[in-house]
Amino acid sequence: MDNAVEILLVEDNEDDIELVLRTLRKNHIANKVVVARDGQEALDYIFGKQQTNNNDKLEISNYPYMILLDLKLPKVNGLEVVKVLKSNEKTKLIPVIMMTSSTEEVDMIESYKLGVNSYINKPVNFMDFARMISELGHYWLLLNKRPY
Amino acid sequence: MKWKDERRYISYTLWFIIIASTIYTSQKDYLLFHSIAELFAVVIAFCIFVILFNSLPYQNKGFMIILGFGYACVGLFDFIHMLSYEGMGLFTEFTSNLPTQLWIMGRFFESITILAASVFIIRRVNARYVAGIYAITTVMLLLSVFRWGIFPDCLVQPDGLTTFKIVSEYIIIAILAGALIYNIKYNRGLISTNAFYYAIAAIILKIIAELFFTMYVGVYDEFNMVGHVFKYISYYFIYRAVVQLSIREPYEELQVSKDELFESREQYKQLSEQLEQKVKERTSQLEDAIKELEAFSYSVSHDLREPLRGIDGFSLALLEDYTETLDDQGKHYLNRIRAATKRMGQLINDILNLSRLNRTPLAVKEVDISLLVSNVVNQLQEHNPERKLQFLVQDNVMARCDRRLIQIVFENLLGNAVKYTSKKQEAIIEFGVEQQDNARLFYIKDNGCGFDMAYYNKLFVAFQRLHSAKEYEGTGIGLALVNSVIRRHGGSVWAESIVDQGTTFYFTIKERID
Repeated sequence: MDNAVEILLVEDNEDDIELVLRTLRKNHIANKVVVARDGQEALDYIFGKQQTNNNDKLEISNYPYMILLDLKLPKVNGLEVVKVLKSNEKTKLIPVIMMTSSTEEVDMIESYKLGVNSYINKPVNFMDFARMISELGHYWLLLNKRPY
Repeated sequence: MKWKDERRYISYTLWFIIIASTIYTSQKDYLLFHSIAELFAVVIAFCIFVILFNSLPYQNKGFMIILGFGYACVGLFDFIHMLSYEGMGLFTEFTSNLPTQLWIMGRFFESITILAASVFIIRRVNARYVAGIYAITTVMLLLSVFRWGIFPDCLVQPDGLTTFKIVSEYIIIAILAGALIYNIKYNRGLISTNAFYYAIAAIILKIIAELFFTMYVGVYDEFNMVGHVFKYISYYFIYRAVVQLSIREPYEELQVSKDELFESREQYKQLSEQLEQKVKERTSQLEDAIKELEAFSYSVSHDLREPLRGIDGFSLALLEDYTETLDDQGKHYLNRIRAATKRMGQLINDILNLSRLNRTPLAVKEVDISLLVSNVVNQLQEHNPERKLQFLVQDNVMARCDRRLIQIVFENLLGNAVKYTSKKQEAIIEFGVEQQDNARLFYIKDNGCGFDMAYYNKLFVAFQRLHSAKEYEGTGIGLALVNSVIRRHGGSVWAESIVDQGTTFYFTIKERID
């Protein structure tokens, strides 16, 4: 039995990846973090490399406890990833925390419309950012205790 | 057959009938013939005068003025000449000498008039002087015949025409010939071709008529008759020339200029439409450029945040993870890095706020300004519990504006007031409205440190400060935001300040915003 708490971090900025990983480690939020550099990589990790247009037919390869998702990503962006995950019965319960340096209100509204669980505006001050990640991370992991 | 040709044939036929019937009449009743021929000339002479008289305010050229007044006199002499003709029985105490005298006067008048009109054809003359000269001469001549009897004899029976009369006719012919030569030499091209040929024809016919008048012996003979026929034909041509020059051509010109006016109005309309289109294009280009610039500044400042977060995050990691290895000086430097990063982060946020402010559309509603100010005041008091702040807020101030944006104005202006009174024992901050002319002046007054009015032009410039960050913290974006919001509300903002006594900010907003 694998009781590792696994988090998927989808982020393209190497600095942010390292700093978020450090925060997660320091705050004992997860003991396994998988990093995807773009939206396609993230979807590939969860569903494997399947070729289908029917979203519901997709089989789950990996089921992370939580996803930290950057909004602006190469190839497939964060909003598109959320759209796929939240419209699939098998993945819609995975908590998704959208992280972005965008200060546009429309991005937040759109994200919540698509069903993200939390929305973090990445501040310049890293301490604030770290605190938000750790608090929200704890909260969603607690709420999302696996039934099995 | 064209209408023009038809008209020509009709007029030839008419002339034939007129000439034939007048010659026939002269054989039957010479007096009647003479009266008709003279009357024809008199009517035309007065017609010319009437045309001039009614267009006098618009006439300033010699041709019509001289011809008009001249023919009025000529018509008068011819009329009296007709009435005094032998057999008319009106001036019984005079002989045939009288009509001949009057005739000579008429011809002198006419020939001199034609010569003068030719010379002054397009030159300016004063109508008053012309009328005066003609009137005086006419009166003098009439008096010389009827009252004083000093005018030389012209017809003495049974010798016939006197030398004076014949010489006079030759002089008259010479004057007419002069007019003819003058016209041919100088006036061709000055007036339209039609009018020119009418005038030439009239003068030639007159010369021919005069030649006949030098030859007659009795006022009832053949030469006299032929002379009169030529005379009335020449009158017809004078009439045509006058009508051509002073009625037809002005009308045609009027029509042409009317057409031109219409055309130029069309062109003007087209031009203004083009201009409008161009303005629209330019405006939209400008708007695009501004949007692009704003999008650029937004994305630049946005992208600047990421590396900044990296600097902040790694310096924090360094500080936290290497606290044992770093000495105090190293930690101090790291803290300085982090402070600088924080400040830069604030500046970037300010730029983002300013650009977002300019991009969001206005949502204008009726806003309770007093309530809004009170809320801001409460917040400020909560944030500054250690300060002794006294706020005076005018009640029941309402305004139509964008609530969110106006709140930014009050947050900044009241926030500044609190900030710059921090060195006072007790801060007194006042909000109110003054009525000035047609506008409402909103004001916020404090008793703070004030600023030097010499630097006033830097007051509303973004990131421009009048105090050091050490003395009073801030990035210098507040008043730029205020200015931006007020400008978007169609108003203006300004300030008055006295160092160490306080500052008053005033602003107006356009009360009716679409």
